[in-house]
Amino acid sequence: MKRKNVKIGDLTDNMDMVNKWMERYGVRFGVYKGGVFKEQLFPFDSVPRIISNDDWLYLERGLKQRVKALNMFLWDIYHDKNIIKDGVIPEEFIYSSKGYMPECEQVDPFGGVYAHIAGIDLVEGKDDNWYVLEDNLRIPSGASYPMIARSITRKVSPQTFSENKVADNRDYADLLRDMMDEMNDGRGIAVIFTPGRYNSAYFEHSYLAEKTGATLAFPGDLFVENGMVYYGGMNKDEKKRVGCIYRRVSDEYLDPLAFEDSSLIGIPNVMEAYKLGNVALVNGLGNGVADDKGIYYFVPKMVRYYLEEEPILNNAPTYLPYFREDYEYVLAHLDKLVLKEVSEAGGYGVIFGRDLSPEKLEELKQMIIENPRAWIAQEVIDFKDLEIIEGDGFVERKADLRAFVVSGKETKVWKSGLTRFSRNPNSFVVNSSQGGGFKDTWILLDK
Amino acid sequence: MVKCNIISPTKANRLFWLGRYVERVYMTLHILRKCYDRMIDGEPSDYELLKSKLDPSQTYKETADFTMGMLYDEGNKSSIISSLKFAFDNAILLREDITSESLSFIEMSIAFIKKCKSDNVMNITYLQNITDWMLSFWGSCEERITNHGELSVIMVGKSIEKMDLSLRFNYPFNTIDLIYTKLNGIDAGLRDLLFDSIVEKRLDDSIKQYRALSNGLAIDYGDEILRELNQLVKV
Repeated sequence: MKRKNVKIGDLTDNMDMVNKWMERYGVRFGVYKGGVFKEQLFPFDSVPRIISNDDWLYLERGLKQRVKALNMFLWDIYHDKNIIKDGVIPEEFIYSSKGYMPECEQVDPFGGVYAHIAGIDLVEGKDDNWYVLEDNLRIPSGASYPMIARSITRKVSPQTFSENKVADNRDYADLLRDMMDEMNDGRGIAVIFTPGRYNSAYFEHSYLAEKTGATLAFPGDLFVENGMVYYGGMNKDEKKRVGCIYRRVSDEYLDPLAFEDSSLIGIPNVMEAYKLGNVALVNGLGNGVADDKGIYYFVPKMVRYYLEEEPILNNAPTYLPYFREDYEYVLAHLDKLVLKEVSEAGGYGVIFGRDLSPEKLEELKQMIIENPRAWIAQEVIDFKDLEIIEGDGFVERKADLRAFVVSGKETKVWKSGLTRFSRNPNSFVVNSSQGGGFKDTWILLDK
Repeated sequence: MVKCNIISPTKANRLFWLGRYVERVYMTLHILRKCYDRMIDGEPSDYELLKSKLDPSQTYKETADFTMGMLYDEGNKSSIISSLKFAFDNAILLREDITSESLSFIEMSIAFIKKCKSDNVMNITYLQNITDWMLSFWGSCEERITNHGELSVIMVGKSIEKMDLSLRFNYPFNTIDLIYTKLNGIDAGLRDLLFDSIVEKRLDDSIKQYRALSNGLAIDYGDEILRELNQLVKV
């Protein structure tokens, strides 16, 4: 098979072998259904998403710009709040955001970085334009899947990679390690802090720990003493100072003494160590205020405000019912728009107006009228379908791209990404928790 | 990146039990094969003793039920499938220590035994793959675990399980003595952290006693030495 000047026939012919290796390495993700945890293999499709070198250079510039602006926004919000004072973003969008954490006011994260790992979700429209759908700045997951998929597909079909010039994506662990070393700054060891095996992304936590050489720490392994974080050994006197925590636990559960006091998966007093600058948290605390779906609307404005540049990447055309003119438009065009609850993630709370009955549309309308701040509305982007293997043939399905941007002293974009696709022919929802699969993302090296 | 060379108490516990369960799979398969061979054409007197030690509660009356139960019964904590799952439950939490390659031998064994179960495979010879993968697992651990302390803890688990089953199934004392010597080769620093010194002394006395009595052959070892062995490790 030949696609866009690449040859992938040998790879797609050996899909069974790829899947055997996926099973061998336990490439899984977990889901809770009806309160029961279930782990399943993450369906992989060996037809890669292919991004030309020119497209990539454009995306890379746009992603760096966007993440820089988001990091500057976070610093500003927790310090001087100039963007509010200058009337660029209404303050109620900040203070009513679930992700805003007053505890982070005037806290200086090490190096001034909040979003060390940003997962930016994009789609490529049929008009050949890329659109950002969502910024994920808290604990974005997914990089490990294309990473391991590449190491497997290279084993199974070396010919494919000698025939095509593709950027190697197995360096993600190096990007992470370098960034964690910078944040650690020689203070101690670096750990990846996982809530445990029953987290949906546990595979990723353990795989990234293995590949970066960081210690995988579980609840109970870390403790705070005199404002410093330590990893405890078998002997009571044995401990190692921790300088950097790549935490995969949500903000609200990270410190039971500072936030949710019922949390059993946190590190008591870690907030104190963070405030004192004795430990770097990757990602920083309070980032949720910047990846709130309501704030998304303002990201192009942030780019202009902080960087004095025109945004390189487009947002999907978005309306905020909070604004009077958008409110009228949204209510009048509900059947043509996609509505998203700002507090939801993982593909939940996404409603396509066209799929609703008149009664359901009316219910939705009432919900928006009652709380306009809780919703954003977007035009449905007719994004490009990608081929996937189904049975003995190929079919087309909707797919997005999560690009990963790593920020330490520098901001770097990983030359790959997680391409997720819907397995349902009529669906635009690609999330793994909603039954979607994943693909490798190839960045072509040749111009 | 600075490597962390200390082992947390929970990690030590997982390493120890991973070592025990992997060895349990390997040894139980070995003993089951011996029993299965005798059941092919032997009289009950040829295999009853082995069968009753493998299934002390006499859950399975027929020999066919016994073989299938010892392989695939997830309600039986001593079955091969249960031991593999317990091994996996520990291994999955230790990927970055034992490496994905070592873990993959347990992943493959679980996938394989599930397939054998669904195909109702009774001929135990078909499960030779699992024996081979358990041996590969040990080789992979020796080759790839870079923290000497972690490797030692997992090997302590392996030795204790091997010694436990060898005592229960009346292996010759020379075999048990050899395992004990390996167990004793643990670093002094780690020994202090892992072993209960009082139990260690009692176990050592028991071994000396059997060494004098057994002439290297199998004898009735009794329950006391098993208790000492299973109380030796503190984690």
